[in-house]
Amino acid sequence: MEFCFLRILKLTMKVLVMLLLFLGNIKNSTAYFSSSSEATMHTNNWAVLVCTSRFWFNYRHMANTLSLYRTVKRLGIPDERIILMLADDMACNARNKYPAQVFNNENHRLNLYGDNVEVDYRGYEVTVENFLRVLTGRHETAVPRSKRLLSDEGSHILLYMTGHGGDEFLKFQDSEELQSHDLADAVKQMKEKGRFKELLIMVDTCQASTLFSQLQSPGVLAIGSSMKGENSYSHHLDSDVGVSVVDRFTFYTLAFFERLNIYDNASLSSLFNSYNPNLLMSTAYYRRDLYQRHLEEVPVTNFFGSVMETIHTDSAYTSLTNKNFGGAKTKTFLGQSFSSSDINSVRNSDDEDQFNNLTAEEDQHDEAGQCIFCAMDSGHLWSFILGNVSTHESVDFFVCYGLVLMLPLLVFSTWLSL
Amino acid sequence: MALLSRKGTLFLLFLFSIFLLSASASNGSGEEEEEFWEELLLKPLPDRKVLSHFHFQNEAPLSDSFARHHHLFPKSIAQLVKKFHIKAMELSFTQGRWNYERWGGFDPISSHNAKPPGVELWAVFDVPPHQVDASWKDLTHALSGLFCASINFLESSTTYSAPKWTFQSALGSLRYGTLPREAVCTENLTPWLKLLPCRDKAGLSALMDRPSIYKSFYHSQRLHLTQAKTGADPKNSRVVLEQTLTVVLQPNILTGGTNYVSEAKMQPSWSLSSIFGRKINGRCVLAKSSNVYLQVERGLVTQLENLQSSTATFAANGTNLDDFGRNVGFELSVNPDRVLKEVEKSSSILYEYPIKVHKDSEQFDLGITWKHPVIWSTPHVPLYASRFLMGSGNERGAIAICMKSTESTQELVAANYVDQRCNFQVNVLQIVPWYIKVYYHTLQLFVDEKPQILTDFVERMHVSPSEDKVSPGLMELVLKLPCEVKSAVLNIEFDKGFLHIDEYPPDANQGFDIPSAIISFPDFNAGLQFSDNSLSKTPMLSKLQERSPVISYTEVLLVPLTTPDFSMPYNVITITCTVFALYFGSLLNALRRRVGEEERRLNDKGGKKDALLNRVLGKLSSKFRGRSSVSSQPSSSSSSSLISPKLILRVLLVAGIAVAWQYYS
Amino acid sequence: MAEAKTHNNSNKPRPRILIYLAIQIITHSTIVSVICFIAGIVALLLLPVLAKNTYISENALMPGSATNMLSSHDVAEANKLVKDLTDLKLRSNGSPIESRKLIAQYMLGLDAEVTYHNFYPQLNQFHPLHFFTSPDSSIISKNISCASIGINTVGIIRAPRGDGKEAIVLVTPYNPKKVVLGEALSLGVAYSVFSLLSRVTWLAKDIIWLVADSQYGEYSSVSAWLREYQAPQFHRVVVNSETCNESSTIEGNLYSGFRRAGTIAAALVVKIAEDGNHFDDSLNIYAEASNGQMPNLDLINIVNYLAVHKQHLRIKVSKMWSLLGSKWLNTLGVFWECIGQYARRLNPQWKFGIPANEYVEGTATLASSMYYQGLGVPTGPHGAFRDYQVDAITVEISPKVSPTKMNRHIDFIFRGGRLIEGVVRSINNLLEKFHQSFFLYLLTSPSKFVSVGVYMIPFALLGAPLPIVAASLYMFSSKATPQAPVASEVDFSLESWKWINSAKKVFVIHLWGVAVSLLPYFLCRIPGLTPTNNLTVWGSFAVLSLVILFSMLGYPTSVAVPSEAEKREWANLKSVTLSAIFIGLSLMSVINFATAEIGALLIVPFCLMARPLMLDIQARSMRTLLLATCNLALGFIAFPPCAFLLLKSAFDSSGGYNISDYWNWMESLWAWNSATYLYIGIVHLPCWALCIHILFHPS
Repeated sequence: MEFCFLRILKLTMKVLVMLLLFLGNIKNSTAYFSSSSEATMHTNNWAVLVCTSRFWFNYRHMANTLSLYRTVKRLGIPDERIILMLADDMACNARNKYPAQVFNNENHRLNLYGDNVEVDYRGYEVTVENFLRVLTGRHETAVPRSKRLLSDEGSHILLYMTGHGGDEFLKFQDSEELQSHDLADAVKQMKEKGRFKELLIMVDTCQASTLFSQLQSPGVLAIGSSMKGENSYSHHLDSDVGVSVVDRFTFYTLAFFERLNIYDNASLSSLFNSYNPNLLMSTAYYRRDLYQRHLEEVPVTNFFGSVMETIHTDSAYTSLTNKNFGGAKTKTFLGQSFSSSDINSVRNSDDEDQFNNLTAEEDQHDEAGQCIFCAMDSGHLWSFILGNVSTHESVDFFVCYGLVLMLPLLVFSTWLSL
Repeated sequence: MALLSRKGTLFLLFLFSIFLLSASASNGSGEEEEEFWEELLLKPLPDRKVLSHFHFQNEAPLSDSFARHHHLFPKSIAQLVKKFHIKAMELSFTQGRWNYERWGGFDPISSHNAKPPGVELWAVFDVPPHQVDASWKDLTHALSGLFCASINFLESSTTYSAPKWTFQSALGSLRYGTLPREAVCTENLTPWLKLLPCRDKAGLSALMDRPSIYKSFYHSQRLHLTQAKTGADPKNSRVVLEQTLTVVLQPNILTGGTNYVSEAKMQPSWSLSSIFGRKINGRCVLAKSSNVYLQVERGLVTQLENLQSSTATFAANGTNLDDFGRNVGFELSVNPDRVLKEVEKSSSILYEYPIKVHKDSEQFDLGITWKHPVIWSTPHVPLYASRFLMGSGNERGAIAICMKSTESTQELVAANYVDQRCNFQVNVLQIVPWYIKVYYHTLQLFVDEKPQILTDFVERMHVSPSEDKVSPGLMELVLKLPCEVKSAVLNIEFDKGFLHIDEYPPDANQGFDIPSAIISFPDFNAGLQFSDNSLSKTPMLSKLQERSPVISYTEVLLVPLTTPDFSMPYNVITITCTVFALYFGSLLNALRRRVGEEERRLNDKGGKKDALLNRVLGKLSSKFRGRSSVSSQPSSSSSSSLISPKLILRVLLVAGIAVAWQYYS
Repeated sequence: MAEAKTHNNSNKPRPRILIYLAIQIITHSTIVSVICFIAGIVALLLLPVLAKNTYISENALMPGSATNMLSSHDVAEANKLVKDLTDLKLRSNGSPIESRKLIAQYMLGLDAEVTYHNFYPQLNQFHPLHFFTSPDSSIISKNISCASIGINTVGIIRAPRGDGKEAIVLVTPYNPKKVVLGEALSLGVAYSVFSLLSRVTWLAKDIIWLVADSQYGEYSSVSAWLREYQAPQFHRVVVNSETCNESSTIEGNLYSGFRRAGTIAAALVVKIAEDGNHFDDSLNIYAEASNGQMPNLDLINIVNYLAVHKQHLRIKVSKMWSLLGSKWLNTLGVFWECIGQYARRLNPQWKFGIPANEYVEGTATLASSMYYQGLGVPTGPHGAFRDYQVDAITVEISPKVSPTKMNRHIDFIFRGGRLIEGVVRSINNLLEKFHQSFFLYLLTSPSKFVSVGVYMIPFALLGAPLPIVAASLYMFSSKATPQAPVASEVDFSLESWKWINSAKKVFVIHLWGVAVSLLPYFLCRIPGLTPTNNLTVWGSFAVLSLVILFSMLGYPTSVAVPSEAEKREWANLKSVTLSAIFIGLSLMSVINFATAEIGALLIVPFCLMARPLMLDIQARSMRTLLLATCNLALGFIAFPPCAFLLLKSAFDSSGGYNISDYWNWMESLWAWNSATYLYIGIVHLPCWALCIHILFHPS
């Protein structure tokens, strides 16, 4: 039953692809734009980690954020794709007994601050305005790239916030508030602008669940540390540093992730089930009605890690390069994702058939797909394609060239699938 | 294991460097290639601390094309220079305060690397004047992205200004700004290290263990960018990137106990591994030279010489300090390759240790063990400046800059006492934010505790008053003080302004900062003169020897301003005042009326309309009359008690309702 | 309801209702005033019941969240310091230079920056123009020799990684002339904390340890240091400084000038009581500064919390001991308790009413804190800090047994040191200055307080009758002759301006009050006068001038039956007097609330009830005679010296009341620039005189 369904799917795909090949360089891609949001595959991961509260006695909030930062980095999201906002400086605070170190546990085993942390927004910069600017991508021209969230409609974004919250608000720096409406509005704008494919919002405050009440955009999954009317408590007090060092929710989240490595595919549901209300002293809340996929088959690394694992192949790249210019090309353009619309359209089209091919192949044998992935991901091909782009005089010609090159691949895949 | 891995990386780097050099040799035959030096200066301080000063210098020819390939020079910096036409720039991140009294203020290191806490940035641009501000703005943003700091707060015109005389290369296109409250931490050091050819993987920079650096009493990380003109034509000018990290560390004393009886304290013996927890294994192979220096400064040298002359045995076999530090005072674990002495008598000594290319056999670990307690003092600034606030309350105050003479001024007097009127120049730069409304006419000068007329001592003066919410106030003074001056005090008064409610930072109750004033002495030369200038001059040595004015910074001040306060007492006071006002207003209103006439008017106006009202008013007036007529008799209370039941009834009714409410809620 | 009716079925504008209410109130002024006054008294007595538990409202403080780091080594060092000091006393009976050098050496041993601060003891001399002004640096008596110079020893520890913008001050008063063990111990405690803080890595604010030379009084030395710190004089007249500064050079120090460290965040005065109280180690907190200003409540809270929960010391704040035994208070407490129980039975939500003994204790504490606030004289050296808006308290640790015969110095220093360390650390946690908590409050126990919102009510209730009665009297006096044949407009207007000449009289009497309160300034110029003589001179002058004034104003001495106008003259006078004292009281309540409250208690009933005795005597009824007698009694009580003596006899059990105490009291008041002095001289006394005048008015 399912098999025949697959066939139908593939047939439709093939038709689509043939059509596409004929109007290869006609760029009215508005038709795709609607479908693309679902069709685009998951290409990259971003993380926005926010600690909103100031002052030394809020040490634990910074420790929360840094725990997540560490996890996300350990699971493979590179530093330039993490936007880290820390409202105050605890590590080098004069009150800190252990300078340049932040611990989230009494046994000072794990120094969360590490040796090369990169904080993008810190101190007075962490305001509601800047936060919304980062989400919606409306910056002044002077703002450097390292401070922007350059995601596209293929990216999974993890948004983690911690601080002092209340009913439908989250306090920034103990002075201004982020209302749940603002958050929902920002997410909606991101959706409209195609800035994410899937968004996981994780909030550790008091009454965190109320912050999600206004969310409407599809593809958003929300986790809160506490229901309405509940507080979320700190885990324990480190009497050596003299402050309470971590909140319960984050503590157990980190405990869950410390057991994982990049290759584990523990599902989100297992993460959600790992929260024990008795230990949390508050009931964690999940909002999954906006989220299409089943949490059982979504691995946590979809959000907390990088997309694809790379497998080292000693076979030459040439066999692959001519195969997937499309994918490669998409990668080339990802860099300038916010450039002109026609490039967008081109990318979409290519994403389209690229997607088909990949699926077509993955049905047969996975490792091939993985090879393709790794080829796509590996930097050498990247630079090679870059070289190509620079050599070719016009992008359009390059696109057509790529599409023509696509033919044998297509034939091959169809033959396989029949 | 870690050692092995480091070894591996080093080996790779080595190969890589060879490849690079060959490549550069192959392609870049015409242009001279880029150069990189790394150096480390260690210096024991009188208060049992150790100054360690890293100096990395990176030079590249300034090329016109953007797409130039750099071997050693960091590309990001090169692009910065190109894009914003930077002629010179200095950016410093500092935590802690430089102790001018104990760590000295008269040597090149203190006058170059003693910086105010927080972030300090100045830049000179090579653009027409009307574009300077724009490129400054962009520069701050770029730097904030580059160094993970919120330097972009310097873009607003209220935070930076354009001083004239304090910095050497001020041609109107200089901008200067500080962020006294900016935190300095690992995230600032990491990108700074990434600018080095071999990051912190090899060479001296591998010493930088983050916790031990940030545990220090003072650390200042500085990035200095200049364009050096080599030769006549501006084509082959070079970009010089100078990165220094100055750290004052306390070697952990084994005996934690401090006892005043041990009057002359032993200096703690330390070694690189004991203060950094690491050793140097191998130089950075990309570096042209990689040296470690140990400086023994003047005061210490003289003390040691005295010590030697006192102890006969050493006098006998006549050892002196420069035979590889085997002397009375201390012993060095490694023998220096070279000993540099200053020219004049009782001068500071430099022991030089070149770092070899890495061999896994031995690691370099310089150590010093003290044998005799020595007390000495470092050369001090000509005038020891301290700045403080006067007055209290939220209304007004005054800033006072107090400069007291130290022995070096006496030296100056001794030096040129031939002419009676010897003066020396002092430049004072004071920048105040706009909400500190300084009254420049109240500037007073006291010399030796006597009030003086400004014009007698102030040679030049440049004041640009602050403009609300637009620009800070700036005051530059060039003072001419007599050499035999004991103390000089500048005093200026200010009013505390009000900010708009949304201009307050989240921690407004902490108070607001006045950035530190800069006090420089152009007549004094901080440089050291070493005897053999002919020998190879590494960048740091030349830096130590260059003639540079003595510069010192004052403390940052904290001014409490009036903050929006909605706390309990204010609420109570406001509410009660409102109630009182209402009460008195109505009372006065009631008193000013002539009730009788109003009755009459009302009666003949709308009397017919409603009988009830008449009745009420009539009763009221009759009651009033009756009351007033009888109230002279003592029976007033009885007469008044005739209405009291109604009053009491109402009161009881209200009270009952309240009680019922309470009870049933 | 009546006004409601008038409102909804009439075409009148709104304010009529206000008029109606006003007229109602004024017409029933007697009842209203009686009710208000009784309510005021009741509310005052209810204050201990309404007191709330203190709580630490500044989250950043986090007292006791960190483990104490004070090691036994520090304490041993401190103990050695104590021994050295006491030995010094034994050896060379206390040459001040020696002990000062000793302390300085100890400080230097900790790498602290040490300086001496020379100051001239400031004579307490009265200057009428220096009320309410910030402490003046001008008064330095010129004719002072070097021998009489005071020298503070100041040690500063710079926070290793701090930016040095703020500082915490530890003060230990110490008299180098005669070393007593208590002071030596307090030095020991401070030193132990200081030596700890010189090593710790978590310091964010600098630490200043001020060893205040207390041979001319603790307050003067601290205030002299603060004046130099906050408002120094650059242009100074130094009396032969060279000879005086021979001791002020410290080896191992370059810079012998005055040292500063940032804005002062908070200050803590540490003292150790000489005589042991025999229950257990306890801690007295003194918080009142000049003119009833209090430090931020959080400062007291953290000391209280740490002492009780960490060091297990008993906290005490000063009480009126005489109140503790009083029967009526006890019965009152029982009464409140019963009411409270009943209320709780009625509705369990009402947490109302406290045990009787607790109530008595609370009242005693409340009374004393109100008294000291009202006095306006700081209760310790911390008062000097409050003048510069710095929160400070004095902490006096009194050991169980007297320290002289105490051999367990070590663990005593240990506990004291740990307490101070905890306080310093939790202030160090603070980023902002103290701003969260209350600073207008009365303490009813170390852990209970009455905030301004509550204790304003009694004063408002006491004060409210004054304008009402004034208004009613005014109307009575202006409208008392309806049947008078002269009802022309002119006459009416003349009637309505009748209060002017009584206002003139009141004004003149107040001028007299000013003159009387300025008199001591000249009296203390005259040398060789005992307090009693001073007082007699003062009083006689006052009476004389008053008599002269009255003769000039034409005091109606004619026993002949006076006219209607004169009959009503006293009413006018009284109304103006009432409004005058109301204004005076409300002004005083802004400056010093407790003074205003006590003053209101004393003067208000007398002012309200004062009416010519003639009237009472003419109408020979029981009531009127009663009225007259209690008028006289009140008049007697409200007379300031009598009030003072009565209070004194009531509150301190020690006998021997001398009339000259009053002079001394007033002297101390003006010496401390207390606004209470002005209140008594300019508000209380004239109003009392006016009321007496009304009392003997012939009508």
